[in-house]
Amino acid sequence: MIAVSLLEVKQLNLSLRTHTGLAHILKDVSLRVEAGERVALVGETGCGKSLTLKAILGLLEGKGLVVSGKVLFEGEEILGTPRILRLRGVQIGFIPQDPAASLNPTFSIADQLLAVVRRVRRNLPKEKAWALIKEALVEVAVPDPDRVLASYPFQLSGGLCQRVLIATALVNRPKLVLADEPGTALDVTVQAQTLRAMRHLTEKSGSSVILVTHNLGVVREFADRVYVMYAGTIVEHGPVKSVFQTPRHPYTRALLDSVPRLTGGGLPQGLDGHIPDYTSPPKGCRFRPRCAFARPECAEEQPLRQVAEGHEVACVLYAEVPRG
Amino acid sequence: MGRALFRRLVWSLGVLFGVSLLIFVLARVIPGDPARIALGPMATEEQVEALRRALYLDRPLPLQYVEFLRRVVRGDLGFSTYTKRPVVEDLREYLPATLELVFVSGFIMVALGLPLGIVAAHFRDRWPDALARVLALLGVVTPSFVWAIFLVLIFSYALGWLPVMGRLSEGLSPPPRVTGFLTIDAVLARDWVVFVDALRHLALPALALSLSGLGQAARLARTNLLETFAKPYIELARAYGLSPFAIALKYALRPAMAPTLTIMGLDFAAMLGSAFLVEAVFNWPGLARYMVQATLYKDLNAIVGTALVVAAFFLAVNLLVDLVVVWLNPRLRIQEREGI
Ligand SMILES: Nc1ncnc2c1ncn2[C@@H]1O[C@H](COP(=O)(O)OP(=O)(O)OP(=O)(O)O)[C@@H](O)[C@H]1O
Ligand SMILES: [Mg+2]
Repeated sequence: MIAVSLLEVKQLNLSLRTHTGLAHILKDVSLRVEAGERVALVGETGCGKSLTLKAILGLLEGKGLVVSGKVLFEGEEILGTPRILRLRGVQIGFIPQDPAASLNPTFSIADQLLAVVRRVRRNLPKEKAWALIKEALVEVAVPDPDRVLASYPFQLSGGLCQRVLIATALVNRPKLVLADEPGTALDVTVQAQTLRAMRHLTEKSGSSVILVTHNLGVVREFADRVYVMYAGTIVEHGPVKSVFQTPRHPYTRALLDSVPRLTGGGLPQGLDGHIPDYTSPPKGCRFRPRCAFARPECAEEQPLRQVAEGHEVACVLYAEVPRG
Repeated sequence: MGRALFRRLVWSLGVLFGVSLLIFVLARVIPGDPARIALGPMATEEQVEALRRALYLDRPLPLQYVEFLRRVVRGDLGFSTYTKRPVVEDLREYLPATLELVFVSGFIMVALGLPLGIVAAHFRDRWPDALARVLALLGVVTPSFVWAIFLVLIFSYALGWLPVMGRLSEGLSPPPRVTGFLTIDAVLARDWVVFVDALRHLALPALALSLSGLGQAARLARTNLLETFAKPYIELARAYGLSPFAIALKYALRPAMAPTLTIMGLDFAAMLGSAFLVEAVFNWPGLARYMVQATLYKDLNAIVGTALVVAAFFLAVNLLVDLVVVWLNPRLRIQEREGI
């Protein structure tokens, strides 16, 4: 029997209708997360990291959206099926990118946390539920949890909002946590602390994580494997060690060359230009216009080629390393 | 909360004071001698002079006002020269009719306007939305007395379903007076025939009066809901798997409600003004008729008394809306509590 991955995204394509035309944002995005595994998704701003997470959760339905591909959770299709509705908040936790704007200003923190707890434990008595959410806040190192629970979002700092959101995502012990740049709102030490707490908690419950981040330092510390995304495509992926030691794709290399000295983020240094216009992206490799090694063949589709154990790169510069 | 409420109350009383002064002076500068108009051309000069003295019209204006205030605090609005009764008694008779009409209209506005807006937002850009928006716009742009005439023509003359005149059919005797609201008094008296009849009489005028506020409520609810639907916290609520029902009616409705309510409160208060025209169409024995007569007869005490009551209603509604808005918006609630 072949073991099924916890999450498998296959050939996900996503286009959005915008006022300038159909934007072909995600192109053939495939990724895989095993049970208990921590996977990072990195790439510069606007490359489609958040959209990838939202597509997995099925949050993007609506007019003017064209999606194709497969999203399998424990081997079962969830893309465009009602199954995802049951998984959200229960088996799949989500940590949004903008903590301050992501909490409802008209409900207390306790109300918002309880709503998520009640997804699973509908009839939990009030005191027990309260104890549970309080414990959830303690776990992410929230000082004075009772005060925080009674507060409204606008009474809390960005860092506290962030921790509340992490606690909410983890409270039902989901099998998979989708974390969109947690900690960006925090200062460096608190960010490290929060990530450590998150790592500890997900390890304890055996949850898998997809962590979106700009910060390569975080990737190195947190993740087992990493996917490097450029303009809606996965250009390279593999074990963190392998990718960091021998990055292959020119984009990955540029990204690593510019390893942020402090908080990270932003454009890789020494890399001119910016992400292509998604309404008319370059054919073949989307990085081609900015690549120092570009050749005519780059205009053809570049499949991922295995260059080392579990390490694949979509670049014409590398030939498939024969297995074995 | 207590302190803030107190502050608002004091402020409202101040406004009321200003309104009274303004109306008091305005009513007196309209040309015409109230005493002469009241007594008619046949009265003798002595009789007119006596009435002028009784109305304090022989004193200087500031003294008249002081006298007026002294009586107001005792709950005395003076005599009506038109009905020859205390104004307070007149108000007690006519105000409930108007208030009943306005309250039922307000209820219709909320009970139909909000759901219409919610449905429109839910079906954004699809046919239910288009329909709701057309209906709402129609409600907003058509004056209530035009609706009144339309509704009478359709439901009374053409279809014959509903009565046109007054509050109660002839032959029915009103229930013992407790609140002055026929519906409530009928319920208190367990007189269901009168209750249904009173409702049937209320239906058309109340609907006519409610439609512009209803349309406005629907439009505001739709706009504010759509704005809220686009917020990250609503997307997150979906990501948490909360039910679409709970999201629409709880997590989106509450933040969307505060701005909607503020305007709805104003619309509701304004209904008292539009009620005057609707009352005229339906021959509703309310404040409108009284006010018109009072103005024509230059019935000073009645004019000032009615104006005060209308202003007080307006202020009370605004106060109430402010309180509800504060209650709905935790940010304001906390500011209030901390007395900022
Ligand atoms: N609702 C939308 N309508 C149109 N375009 C969108 C929409 N959401 C995202 N995009 C576009 O899709 C692209 C990818 O967006 P996404 O938010 O996934 O980027 P990201 O990698 O998460 O970036 P960041 O690091 O800044 O969060 C961007 O160019 C963005 O402008
Ligand atoms: Mg993002």
